[in-house]
Amino acid sequence: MKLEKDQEISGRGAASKAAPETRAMRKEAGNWLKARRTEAGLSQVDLAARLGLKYYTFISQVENGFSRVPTETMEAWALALKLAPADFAKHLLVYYEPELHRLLFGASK
Amino acid sequence: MNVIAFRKPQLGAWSETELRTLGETLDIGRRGRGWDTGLTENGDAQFYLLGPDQGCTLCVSRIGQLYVLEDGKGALLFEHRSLPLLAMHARNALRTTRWPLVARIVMVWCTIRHMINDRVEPLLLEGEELLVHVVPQLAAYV
Repeated sequence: MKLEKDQEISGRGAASKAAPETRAMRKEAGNWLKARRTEAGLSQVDLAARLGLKYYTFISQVENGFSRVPTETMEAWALALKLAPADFAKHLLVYYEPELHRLLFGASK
Repeated sequence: MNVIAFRKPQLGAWSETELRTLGETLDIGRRGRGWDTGLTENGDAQFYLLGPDQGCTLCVSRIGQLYVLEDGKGALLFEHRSLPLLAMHARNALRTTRWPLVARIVMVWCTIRHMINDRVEPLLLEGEELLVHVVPQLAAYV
């Protein structure tokens, strides 16, 4: 069986209409996280070690925009990147929950 | 003299064979699921099985000769050198993720039955009572 990526994705239901936008936002979050990690002088392997992960692959998963930073690890993630946890979480909310961020903090980032 | 064969660690993107193994075992074509691939910073291949919001539900990564299966929250589910074996575990993990859907269907069914009991049955009983009163009168009239 040959996998045809576009074919698979185009065969999806109407429920995923907003999905490309969500995906783009997650990718933006990933780019931002990657930039902060690079600034902190850490590789994906280094960051995974600081988060207590056995493999570094989840860091890549998040930075490639396919997953979110889990809420329960946000603080550890922020501290590993030498950022204030509250600012870190607030900034990620811009990408992960833009409407909630707008309601809580207005238009400011 | 014993000769031990060392397998050369694979690097870079997925091979056609690896993608076929994942696709066939996870039954991607029939289930109509989205998927995508990517690379880590070190050039290790990743395969993402996507959910309705195009977020990753399962991720298969190849690190050297080792395959690693994680869920979308980074929990390590399985690791092995055999991709077919890992793909089987991925398929089982997908099956278990269906349970919340089954539970929801059961709950909706119970709610509907409860509504029928509450609203429709009193109406039926009322009709039955009416019938009990009317039938003898009708019989007498006939």
